[in-house]
Amino acid sequence: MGDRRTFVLVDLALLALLAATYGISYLHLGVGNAVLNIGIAVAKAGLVVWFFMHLRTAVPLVRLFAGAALLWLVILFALGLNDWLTR
Amino acid sequence: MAPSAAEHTATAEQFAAPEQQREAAFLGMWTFLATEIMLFGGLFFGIAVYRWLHPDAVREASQHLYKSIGGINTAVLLASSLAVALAVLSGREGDRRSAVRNLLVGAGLGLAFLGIKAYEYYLDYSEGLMPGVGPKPFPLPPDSELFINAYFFATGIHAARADRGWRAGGPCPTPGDRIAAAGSAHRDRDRRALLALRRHRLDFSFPVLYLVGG
Amino acid sequence: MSTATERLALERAGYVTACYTLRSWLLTTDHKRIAILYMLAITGFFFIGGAAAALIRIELFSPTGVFLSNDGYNKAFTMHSVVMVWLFLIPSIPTTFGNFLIPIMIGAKDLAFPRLNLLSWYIFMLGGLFVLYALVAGGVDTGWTFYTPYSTLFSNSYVAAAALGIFITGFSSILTGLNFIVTIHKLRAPGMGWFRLRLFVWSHYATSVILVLATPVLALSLALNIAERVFGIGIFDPRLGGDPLLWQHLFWFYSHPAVYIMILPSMAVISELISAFAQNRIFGYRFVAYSSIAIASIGFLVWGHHMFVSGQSMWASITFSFLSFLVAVPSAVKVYNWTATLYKGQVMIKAPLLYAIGFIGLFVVGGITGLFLASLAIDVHVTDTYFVIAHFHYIMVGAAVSAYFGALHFWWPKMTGRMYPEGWGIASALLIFLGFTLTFFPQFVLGYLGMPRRYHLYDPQFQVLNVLSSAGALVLAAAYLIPLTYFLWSLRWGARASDNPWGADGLEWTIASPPPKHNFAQTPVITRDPYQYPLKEGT
Ligand SMILES: [Cu+2]
Repeated sequence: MGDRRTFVLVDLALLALLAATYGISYLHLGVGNAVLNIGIAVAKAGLVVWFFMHLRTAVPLVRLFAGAALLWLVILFALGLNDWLTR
Repeated sequence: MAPSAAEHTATAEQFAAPEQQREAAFLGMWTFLATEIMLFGGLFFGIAVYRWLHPDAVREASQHLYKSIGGINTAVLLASSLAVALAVLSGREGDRRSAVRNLLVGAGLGLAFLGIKAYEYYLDYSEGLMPGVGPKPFPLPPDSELFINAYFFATGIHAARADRGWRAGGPCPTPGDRIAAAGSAHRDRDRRALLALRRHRLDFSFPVLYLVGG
Repeated sequence: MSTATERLALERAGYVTACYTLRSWLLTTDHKRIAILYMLAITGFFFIGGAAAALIRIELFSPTGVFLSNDGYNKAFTMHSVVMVWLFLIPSIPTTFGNFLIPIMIGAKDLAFPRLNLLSWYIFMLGGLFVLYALVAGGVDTGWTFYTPYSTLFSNSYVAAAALGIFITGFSSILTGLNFIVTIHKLRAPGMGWFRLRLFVWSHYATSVILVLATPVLALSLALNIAERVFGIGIFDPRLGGDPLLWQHLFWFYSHPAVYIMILPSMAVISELISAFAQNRIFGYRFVAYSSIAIASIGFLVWGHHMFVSGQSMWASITFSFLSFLVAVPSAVKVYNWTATLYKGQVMIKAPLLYAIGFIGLFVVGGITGLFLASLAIDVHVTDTYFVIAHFHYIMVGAAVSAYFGALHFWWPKMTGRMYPEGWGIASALLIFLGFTLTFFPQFVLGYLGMPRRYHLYDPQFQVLNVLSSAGALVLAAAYLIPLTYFLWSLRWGARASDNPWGADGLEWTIASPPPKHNFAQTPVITRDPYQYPLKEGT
């Protein structure tokens, strides 16, 4: 069934991303490491939320709720780090 | 923690239709997930601040953690997630046996995750990395201790949640509810979909914790 | 009697008389009964917090102190603030009137998750007990803000127990907010569109958003605080490379929005009171509705105005100062709209309206002095002085507590089926306003002259103003006891309340006082907008 295949594929993608994170930790790219790691973490979180947590098939209201949580997280980080980055 | 078992099996009196009840439960679960995102978000914010204040110390500390164990354990958790996701699918299709089987696999892998985590903690303990306890003094510069402590704090919560997750528990159930939820594939489809939702959020924190150091 | 008529009689019985056993109350899932449980609890906490306030004001009669040690004074003001903020103000209106009224106002039988609602009461009580334990065991001396590293490294008082208690009550807040959000989305009666909702419901929706998104961050920061204090984990300790300002950022990320958790439900109440006693449609309904959402959202962007002198970067201070000014806009929208609603209304002077008018006046003073504090230069002058104390007491006591009392008078007949004595109601409303102003206005002056907060010994030049303030506090204490007395009296001797004693518009006034167990015999169908005055018979 289609859904089943999707889940397996997503799981494989997550494993691949995990391997990528692992590999990157042995490279020394300076700031690049952090950027890549954060990017991969976001991608993984996105895959989990979108497929496993059924946001893909959820009604718009539920997507709005998920989006709100994300936006508020951005507020915390943006205004909070706004202090440390400009001290 | 949203609706309890009794509110779920039949349409509760405050709802006009089962569909309305199902939507309410799903929305409640997502609202709860939003609160969890904020809870862990605060912690990640703290870690980001340390990373900014002490980049070298955090790098050294994170290199000291057992990356391979962490990586394997995340893979275990991913596999367990997949099993739970497939169980929900089977439940939706009405294939009770496959649903139960997949749930059991998911629970087993969840247990394995906890076992590996315990082993990893033991290694950390022997090295003197644990705050306050251990056979050796803290082996890294004091700046790193902060990050290590945050790591224990975060993975501690993480493991506690995984523990709750593997028991295939419902939102705020008694042990009896839990068993009923895991066992009866027909009545409790939505219920298991909700529990799977709770289960999946466990996958978030690994990359941040182990690999912020790079 | 046949079983069908028996069941009908049971359906019609008020939620109170449906069953009298203690068990039926402690295991109830009826939102109305849970509201009463909350009301009993927070009334108790209000008088505990009030007793601590009395200790503080008596101590300040004399510049050399009256009867408290330095340590005792620290513990008295901490007890006052912790109990009042988390055990009274945060839960006050949402858990009592919100719980009681939201399902009725949207035409539902109950909240979406009734058992979760009961659970949240038990969680609240458990947290409250921890806090009380901390206070009885020996007190806490950090102030309600638990600033690090003092709270984690140096204080010898019961910080961890109090913090754990607050951590626990936080989950009660979260569950209440979650329940309201889902209920308002999913349980509205047929025809009840978003713009047919009462403004009470809009404001509570906005409050719930804050409860759900801010409280987890408080829970996390308290957990970190406890971890540092109990296990010596260095998080805020600068000697270990931690940053004490991390605490302040996380704490105020919750605690500034928390001010809106206290004031948005009060605004919810005021919109209802003003419209009912002016017998007038709310002016600019949509603006008032949207302003609640705007306050809740912008309220998250301003927390750093508590940290202007903390050592945060100047750029951050400027950002937060600017954003703090923004939040005044939606607050002002509400005030203008209330005033415009009164204009050309058929104003009835009753106790609830007096509280509402008192609210508007005191809220405006509190809000405008808030703008003083949001300006960087003035804030440096008045930080940690009585000016700040006066400012937030105008908001939290002058506004929020007044609204709570207004709500109590307005919906008491609906909740209990009894009328309170109107003359006493009016007298105590006036006395509360008087006592409040006498207590807190002098504190603006004291603060501007430079008297710092949190000291019980002060320069003799400040004595006159302090004595005025303490005298006002005694008036205020007496004025709060009067309603307690006549409300209890009315339960037995008060006149029976009709279904709609105020001639107000709204679903709760179309059902019996007190409401039957399931609120509505059949689900109402909504065919018109709210606040349609003058009220036609039969609508
Ligand atoms: Cu503030």
